[in-house]
Amino acid sequence: MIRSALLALALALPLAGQAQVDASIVPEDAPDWLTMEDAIATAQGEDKIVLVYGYAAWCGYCARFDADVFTDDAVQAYLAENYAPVRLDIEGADSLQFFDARVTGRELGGAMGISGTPSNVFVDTDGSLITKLPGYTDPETFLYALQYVREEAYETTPFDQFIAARRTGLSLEQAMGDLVAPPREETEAQ
Amino acid sequence: MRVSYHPGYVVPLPPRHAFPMAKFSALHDLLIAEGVIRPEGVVAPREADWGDLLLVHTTRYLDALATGTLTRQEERRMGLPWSEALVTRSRRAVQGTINAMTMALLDGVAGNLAGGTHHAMPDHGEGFCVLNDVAVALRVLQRSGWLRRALVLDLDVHQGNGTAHVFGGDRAWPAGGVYTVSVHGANNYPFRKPPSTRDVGLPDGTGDDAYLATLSPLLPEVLAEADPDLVVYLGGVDVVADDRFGRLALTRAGLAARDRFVCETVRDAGVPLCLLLSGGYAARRAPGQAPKTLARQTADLHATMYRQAAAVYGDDSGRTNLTPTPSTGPAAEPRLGMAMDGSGPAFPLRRPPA
Repeated sequence: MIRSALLALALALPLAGQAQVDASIVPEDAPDWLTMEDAIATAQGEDKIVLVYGYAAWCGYCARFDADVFTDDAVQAYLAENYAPVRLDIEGADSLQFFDARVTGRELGGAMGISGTPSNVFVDTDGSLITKLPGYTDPETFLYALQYVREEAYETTPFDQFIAARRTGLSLEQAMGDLVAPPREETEAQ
Repeated sequence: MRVSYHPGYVVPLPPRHAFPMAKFSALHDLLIAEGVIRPEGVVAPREADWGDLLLVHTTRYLDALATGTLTRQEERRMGLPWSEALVTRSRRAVQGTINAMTMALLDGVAGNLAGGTHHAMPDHGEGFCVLNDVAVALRVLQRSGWLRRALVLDLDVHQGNGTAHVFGGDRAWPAGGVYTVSVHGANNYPFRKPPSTRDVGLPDGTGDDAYLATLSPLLPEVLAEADPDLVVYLGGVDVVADDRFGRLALTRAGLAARDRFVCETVRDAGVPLCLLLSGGYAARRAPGQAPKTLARQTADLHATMYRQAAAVYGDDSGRTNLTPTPSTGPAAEPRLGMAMDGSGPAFPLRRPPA
C-alpha cells in the first residue's frame, strides 16, 4: 500500500500545477487500496474477491469514479467486508505479480480484456476472471454489482432483474415472477 | 520439550499461494538445529480418527472433505484448494494437537509444530483452516477423562471465531467446559466475531507497550477465573508489524516478551501448557524474493514461542520438573500405557470398549 501510494505520488508530481485530469491521484477518503500481491493474498485468506479497478491517468470518468463511487460510504463498507480492491493503471509500465505471472499493468489490462476505462474486473482467488463491469456507473448500481458478484446471483439472475429486485425490496423469486423455475430443485435432482 | 511434527504437515499448494506452507518443515528444522527440541522429542502423529472429528464437525462437511465434493464457494471460503493430501495433512495436524495436549498434561509443557486452526467451523472451513484442531482435541480429551476444564488463550491477531462458535455453549462458566480468550485486532478478519468467553479487540497499529499492558492483567485474571486443567496457547505471530494479514505493530522483542510472559505466568500457576502455532504470514515479499525465504522468516517468528518455552521450562526434552496438577476429578490420574517415542503409532485416546 505504501508502495502504491508512493507510486501515485511519483506519477502525480510531474503533473502538479497543471490544471488537467489526473486519475492517478487517489482521493484521501479512498478505500483501502492494496497492491496486487496483497490483494490476492487477502482474498485467499479472508474469503474475498479481488476487484481490479482499471484506470488511466488521463481518463476523466476515472477521476469521477474515484470521486463519486469509491468515496461512497455504502460502497466502501461493502468493499471492506467482501473485496480486496486494487488499482490497475492499464498503461502502467511497472511490473507486478499476478499469481505466477510477472507482468506490467499494460500487459495485465490487455490480458484481462480491458479495452476502455474505467473498467472493473472481478477475479477469483484461483486467478480466474469472474466478470467485467466496463464503464462508469453511479454508486448505487456499482454497489448492486458488487453484491451481484459476491452473492453469485449471476448463476440464476440477469443483472437488471437483480437491480430491480434490490430496488423494490422484493426477493429475487418474487421480482422474477414465473420467469424462472425454482433453480434449487434442479440442482438437487442431479 | 516434546512436540508433534510430521513431514506430511507440508503439502503442495498452487504457486504463489498466500499461505506459507513450507513454514512447518522450516520451523522443525530450525528448532532441531538450535537444540530447542531434540529428534527423540519429536512425536509423529497419525491421521485423526473421523469419529473424533465428528465430535465437532458435521457429517456433511467431513463427507465433502473425504470425497472431494466441496463447492467452489466452500473452497474459496477455506482459502485452500482441496486435495486429498490437504485432508490427510489436516487430520494429521488435529492428531498432533491431541497428542500435544496429552503430552502437556504429562510433561507440563508440549507443543504441536502446526495447529491452532481456530477459524474452522463445524460445517465449513475458512481462513486457511480446514479442521478445528483446538476444539476437536479438547473434546477428545474431555471425553476420555483427561481433563475437565481448559483455557484457550488465543493471541493470534485474528479472532478465534471457530473455537468461540464451538464452545459458545460453554459460556455458562464455570459449569465445566472451555473458557476461550481471544486478544485480536478489532478491525481484522473475521468480520463477524461470535463471542468468546473473553474478547479483547485492539486498535490497528497497537505496539509492544500497549499490547503487553493489555495482556499483563488479563492473563492472571482469566487463569484465576477459569481454574483450568490445561492452558492451550495459540501463539500466532501475525501480531508483528508488516505481517501480511496483521494490523498490529509488535516488534520481534515484543513478541518474545509476550511469549515469555505467557510461559512464565502459566508455569507459575502450575497449569500444563500446550503450544500451538496458529497464524503467521511473514513480511511482504520484496520483488524477486523467493517464497521459501518468506516461509523461513515466518518459521523464525514461530520459533520464538518454543525458544521462550525452552528457556522457561528448561531444555529437558522429556519430562520437565513440573508436575502436572490437574486439580481434582477425572484428570488427576493419567493412565497412558504406551511409549511415545515417535516410532510407534500415535497413542490411543479412545475409550476402552464399553
